[in-house]
Amino acid sequence: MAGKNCVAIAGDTRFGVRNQTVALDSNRIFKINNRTLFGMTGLNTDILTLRESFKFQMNLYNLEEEREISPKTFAHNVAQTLYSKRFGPYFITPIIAGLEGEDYTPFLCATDLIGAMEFPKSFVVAGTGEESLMGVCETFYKENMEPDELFEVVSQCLLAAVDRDALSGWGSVVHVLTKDGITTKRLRTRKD
Amino acid sequence: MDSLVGFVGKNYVLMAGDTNAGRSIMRLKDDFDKLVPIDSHKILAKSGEIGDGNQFCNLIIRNVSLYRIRNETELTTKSVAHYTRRQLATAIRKNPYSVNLLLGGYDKKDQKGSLYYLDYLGSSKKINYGAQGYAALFVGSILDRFWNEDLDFEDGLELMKKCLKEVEKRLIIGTRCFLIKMINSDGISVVEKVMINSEKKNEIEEEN
Repeated sequence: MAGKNCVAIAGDTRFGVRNQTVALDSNRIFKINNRTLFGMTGLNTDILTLRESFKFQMNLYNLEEEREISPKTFAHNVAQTLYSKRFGPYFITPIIAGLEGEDYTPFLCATDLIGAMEFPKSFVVAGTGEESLMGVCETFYKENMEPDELFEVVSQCLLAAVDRDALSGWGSVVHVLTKDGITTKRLRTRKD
Repeated sequence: MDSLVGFVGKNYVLMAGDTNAGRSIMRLKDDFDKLVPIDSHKILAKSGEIGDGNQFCNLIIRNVSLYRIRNETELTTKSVAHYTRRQLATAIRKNPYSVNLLLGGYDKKDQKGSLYYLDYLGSSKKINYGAQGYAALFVGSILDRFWNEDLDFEDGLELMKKCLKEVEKRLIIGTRCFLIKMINSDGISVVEKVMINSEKKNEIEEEN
């Protein structure tokens, strides 16, 4: 979700196989650089493979370009990587959130599993509980939220939505990205 | 059909696997060791297709040895887990290995044990306790309740036997014999080969 010169990503931390929970501390939101956060939902193996792939690409980018990648460029990179497997896709739904440019304009991007991008101004959702998330984010979102308020809104949205979805929950983590850095907080959700 | 259980204790990792090898309804072998040592301080517990398990474990063992020979240093458990995961992930879309694994290892540098859950798809997760197969459905809640990170060896062994007893009692596919191995700073050791018979008495008979 985007606020005033800040963005937040929240995700649950359950790792499960169909209806069986394996671990409660799986991290699916990754920091690309100080301006970009990248979250994925979907098949765990593809999340890990793509994490490693993007880490490699970003390291190479940093060495070659001698600068940090901008969120928009990274989003396009993600889309291209996913489309390159158009007929044998990675089963993930990525979300990119970042602060673009000198003004730290919030940037949000969501793509589907084959890289079709959308750039909404307000919020993006993904995962097994995406319909619930969509509804509750639509209700609670308002423009130009300060980081504290943004954190509250994002947390409550996530908590509400995972309570309705059987496959989500078991712990959650919220990252708030501002020009001063990333704040990370863990929330307790219902463990069922 | 295969049951693998593992957890990390205070200075050790305890792993157990059933000793059945079967095909369809037939039990081919009842002293099959599923806890394969990769090097002196790591065990790869395999479940799933027997052939795939053999081939894949061989692949990992040989490559870990090769690394040690080339670089004169042992890999950490985390590195082996990542390497194994990568092999599974690249294989899944080409020539899949139908093996689900638990990788347990003790690192002398950190003086800590660690356990990884690896899936045939290439999922990987570092866990404190867990199981593969049908056992996971029974044992997960027992370990949730009784595991803590300061389990010393005797308590850990008791917890493991509690888990295995539950598997034997409630899993409809008969599996009475389990092999328990431990990894600590001294390496891998076979703790016990446990034969559980919950029909006779409610006790565990031990067999060498």
